[in-house]
Amino acid sequence: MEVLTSLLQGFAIAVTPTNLLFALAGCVLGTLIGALPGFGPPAGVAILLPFTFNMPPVTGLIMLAGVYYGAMYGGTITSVLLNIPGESSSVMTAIDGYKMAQQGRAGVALGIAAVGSFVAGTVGVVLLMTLGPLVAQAAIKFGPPEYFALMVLGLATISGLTGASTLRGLGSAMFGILCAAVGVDIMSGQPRFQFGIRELYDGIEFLPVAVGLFGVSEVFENVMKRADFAQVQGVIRWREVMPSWKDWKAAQGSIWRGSFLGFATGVLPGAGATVASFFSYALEKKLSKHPEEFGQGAIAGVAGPEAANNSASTGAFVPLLTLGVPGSGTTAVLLGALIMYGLRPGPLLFTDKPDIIWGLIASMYIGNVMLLVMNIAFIPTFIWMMRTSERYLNMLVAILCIIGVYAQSVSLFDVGVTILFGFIGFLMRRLDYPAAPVVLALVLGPMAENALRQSLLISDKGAMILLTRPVSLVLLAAAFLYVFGPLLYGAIRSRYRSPREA
Amino acid sequence: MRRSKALVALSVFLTAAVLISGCSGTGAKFPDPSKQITVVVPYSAGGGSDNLARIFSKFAAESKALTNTFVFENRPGASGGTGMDYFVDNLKGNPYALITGTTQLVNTKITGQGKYDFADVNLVCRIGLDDHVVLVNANSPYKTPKDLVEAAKTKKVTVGGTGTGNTDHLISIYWGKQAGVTFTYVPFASGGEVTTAILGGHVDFIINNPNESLEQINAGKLRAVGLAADKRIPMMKDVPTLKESGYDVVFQLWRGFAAPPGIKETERKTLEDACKKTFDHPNYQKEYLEKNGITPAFLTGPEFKAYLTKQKEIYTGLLTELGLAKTK
Repeated sequence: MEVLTSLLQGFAIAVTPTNLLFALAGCVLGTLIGALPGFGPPAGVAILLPFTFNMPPVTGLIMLAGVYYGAMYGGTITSVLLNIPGESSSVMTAIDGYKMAQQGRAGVALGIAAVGSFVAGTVGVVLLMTLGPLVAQAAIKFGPPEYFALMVLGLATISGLTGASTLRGLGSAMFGILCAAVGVDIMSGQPRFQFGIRELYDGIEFLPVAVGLFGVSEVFENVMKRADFAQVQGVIRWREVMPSWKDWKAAQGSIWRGSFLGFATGVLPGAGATVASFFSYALEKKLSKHPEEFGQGAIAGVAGPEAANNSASTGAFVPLLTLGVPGSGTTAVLLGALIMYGLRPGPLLFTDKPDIIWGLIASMYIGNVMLLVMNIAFIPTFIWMMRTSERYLNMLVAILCIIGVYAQSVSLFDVGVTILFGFIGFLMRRLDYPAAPVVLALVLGPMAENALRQSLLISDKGAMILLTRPVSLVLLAAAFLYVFGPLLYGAIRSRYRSPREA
Repeated sequence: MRRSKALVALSVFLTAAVLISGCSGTGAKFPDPSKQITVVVPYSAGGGSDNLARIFSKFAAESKALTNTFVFENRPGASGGTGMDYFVDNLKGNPYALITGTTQLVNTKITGQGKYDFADVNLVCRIGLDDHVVLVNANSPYKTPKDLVEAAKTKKVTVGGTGTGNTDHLISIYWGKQAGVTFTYVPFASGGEVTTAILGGHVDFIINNPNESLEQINAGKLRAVGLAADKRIPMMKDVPTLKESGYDVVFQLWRGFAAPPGIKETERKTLEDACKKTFDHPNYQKEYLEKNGITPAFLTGPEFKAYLTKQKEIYTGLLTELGLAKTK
């Protein structure tokens, strides 16, 4: 009851014309930022931060939060239409979303992503409101051994993620881990695989790799085949862009599972939306009756990860608002914003400044509705734009990839990396190696390595720390079963069956 | 959507063009208020140095110290080395350029992450100092710095930090050396993860800015046991310095500005005066220094240089010992 009263007060604050206007502005700007490859949510929020200094804190916070989850919606658009993940959490969306676009179902993919994001965003906000402080207490119990086990589970699922060949998937993942090893090692402070090139001190960034492997290689492929980007045939009618009842039914379960899974992952500092989207994809493929459809335009492969990355971005607010600990890059910038507004994020924020927190939470509900309407309404426009510029699209995408990468890092070196990975991606396509495991391993690899070394540093009994802590034991067992389960299952079944069949 | 992207792309190019044109030539009168001042921030947008730059520009205008338009260039990478090198190589002789100065003014040249240090730029001013406090979990058996040292004599005592060679690491090494013990340093990828590790009890202590941990202390989740400063700070009056506990460990993080090499001394002095005027503005003290928990500690360019020369000795020693100094 107390929660409801507070929420109502929150709505009273959030629905003032000024706050509504800035929520809308944040959502629009966020969508644009998310759609542009290069500017991820953290950079977007940081750049807009100074504009909010003269606003009342709650208004500024509402706008910046709008930018944050607006960008989560926006990242989907280029993933589906152009095969360029605007930010890391959209990588999984690109796999099946772009395939759907090639099949003329771009509108459906975008529609289900918007609906999935809306459901997940709402689930996320409800969970944040009701379980926030409780969940945060559980999240901090997650130490290095648990993170390591989680990352092992993640890496183990890569093998089952894409393509027909597990071996090729693992090959791609190994290449990603190798790329991740480049740069200064935070454990020793020493550069690795740096070859005297100063730009490699900070390693190979995620963005140039993802844009190169997905976007640039697509352009190369099209040029080789003298083809264009995925096109939508015929006149665009509302009925064709909207997900049908059948689509909704196919995606519904994935959306709900993605929402809860995403929230749980988002709450863990450091894990975040990327890992959430990726776990959701793996889960959906595992649960699906038609796993062979994944990678070929499965609607559940879009709906699940999109729901997961959205509720993860809400989940990341939990440690920020209840502990004062940022759960992601963007919330780290928001933490800076809170301090600038003269608020001190920490365990007392909910009780000290209830008007601001509840105003923010209420604005999240409103922002989600705005984004749903905005995204659905503009789907035909996006597709129309794709069609009118069809002939120039290869060129435009190439330019967009380069500018997006350059704008984010102001580094020509990164542009070179993008083009290099464009070539690598092109070769991988020709040789039938999947690209997604490369970028996922690039994200998960360093996390797994750091967590393992942290575990060993804090442990008094060496590697046993990984097996004596219950959560890490369970996660490691799950990883083991994921990889070897099918083999064991097969062995047991053939053993039982063989006498009868013989 | 397509059009808006083209617009963003165009604006990127325009900004670049403006930056380049804004940097050329020096007028007879300095500063010419119609010229833009470029502030290079060698770290990411949203961080401490970025805050320093952006808020400084606001109050430079409010105090009428500098009425120019400010543009910001974030050039992160190599612990600040990338931005520092860019600044010296590309903005040499340009009085309409500033760089925010913190550890990169000393460290990156020692570690080989950059080519230049404070001796290669014109120091303008030091604004303030960030402090460092030793924190334990509220449920920790350790109540004083001495408790941690005594424990480290018989068992493994872990300290969570933000990366080998960073200030929190150097402090733990320096302190350990003074006390004759070794603390096991456990690096994490971000400050948020370090705080989580101490809140969850995964490490024994951490070393952090007082401001960033104040709320956790107030909420009774963390306990501050010692301050790596000369004297106690107003924000934490009850927390003794490590010196009071018998360990001479004073480590503060400087924040200031520098101008490119090759500008006239009169121009540097003008910037220094503008810096002082902004610093003295009461709202700047309140809005920036107080809110961010930075101890006001103004130094002129030459004073800042003398200060950094001393810091360099300490840092060179520690980094060499850790094997992080570039061997020639």
